[in-house]
Amino acid sequence: MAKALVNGTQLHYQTFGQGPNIVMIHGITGNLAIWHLEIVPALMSAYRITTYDLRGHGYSDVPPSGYTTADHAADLHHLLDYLGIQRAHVIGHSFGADIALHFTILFPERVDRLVLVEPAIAALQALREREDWIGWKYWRDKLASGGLIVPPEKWYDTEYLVRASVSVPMLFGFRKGRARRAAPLVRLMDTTTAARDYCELAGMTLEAIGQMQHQTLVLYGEASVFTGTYEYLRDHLPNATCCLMPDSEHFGPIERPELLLQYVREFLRGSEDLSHSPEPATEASALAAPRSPTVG
Amino acid sequence: MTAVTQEVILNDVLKLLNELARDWEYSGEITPDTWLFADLGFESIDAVVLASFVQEHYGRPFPFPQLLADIGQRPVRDLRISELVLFIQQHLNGSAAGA
Repeated sequence: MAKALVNGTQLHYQTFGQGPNIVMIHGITGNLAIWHLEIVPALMSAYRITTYDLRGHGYSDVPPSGYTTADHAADLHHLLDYLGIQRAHVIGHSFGADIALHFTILFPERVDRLVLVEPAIAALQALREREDWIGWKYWRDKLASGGLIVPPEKWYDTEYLVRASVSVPMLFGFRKGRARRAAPLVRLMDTTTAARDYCELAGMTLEAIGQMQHQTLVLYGEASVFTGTYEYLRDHLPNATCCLMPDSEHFGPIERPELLLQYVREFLRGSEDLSHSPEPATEASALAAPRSPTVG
Repeated sequence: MTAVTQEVILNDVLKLLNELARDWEYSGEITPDTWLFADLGFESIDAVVLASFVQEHYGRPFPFPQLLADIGQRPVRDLRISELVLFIQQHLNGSAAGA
């Protein structure tokens, strides 16, 4: 099994394919497999793809601390050095998209194009603090469908809900509907700062986000509970192409892989067309076409 | 080239599963009839890692992405050890070369 020692932590990674580099980052309590069911097989004929397990996840080590987006971005920086990757397209999902964004802010020279699928953005936590945020009920309902009833005093407690989520059945993959192997995630929640660090700003301010210059593709599900974040990025992230995917909630890479692939292929193709141009380009028409009419 | 037997491959697979072993919920004997996901408690990541183990062990690529896609289409989304052994044997011995 391929592991890289970075920042004193062994990170498990996988590489497939040949071509321009893409690095893919999974979300909190997930692992690299989210990319391997549909996305990696479809892109590996045209790209060299690196997926890895974040510290604390999958087959990587579980150090007691260092789980903010800035910490994970530093891990990725070392991983790219270890693998000899000078520059890559970076794709992140959920908390992995937050990491991808922070990585791009901290190490802009290492990123070609950036794809953000459902980032939450800790700096936009205020959007989700109100008790009428739709995500609270969505989250409770998901847990209830897995047999866990959230007591009312915990309805708006992010850390409690993150911890509780490890006990519900798998939503996707080959164990869909079956119990997940909870022990490693319980260990992550109980013996590390991961749940607390998830809520940390760690320097990724709205000001820093607003100064980004990279061409960025932003994808959310039409039924996502993070549409407030989507609207903020659409209005404030420079050089961003923002799209809503129909029939998708939060897990686009496995809910709508074929559509996500369509967006990503076209977006990255734009980079190849412009590889010798210093100017950012207007996005191709097919990317703009699927944009939801409901969000203008 | 000498054809590799299923018995040899089965032994290889069992050794690789031991290397992979982590918090298995399964304490029974692993046999050719054992299901990877239902019995061993495999999650998708374990299949990804086992695939990389197999490729490292035999020093060549196998079309695992296609195998996983095939499993995903089945009514029972699972794989027996015996099917994995057969898959490896077919591709090792060249009968499925180019597949």
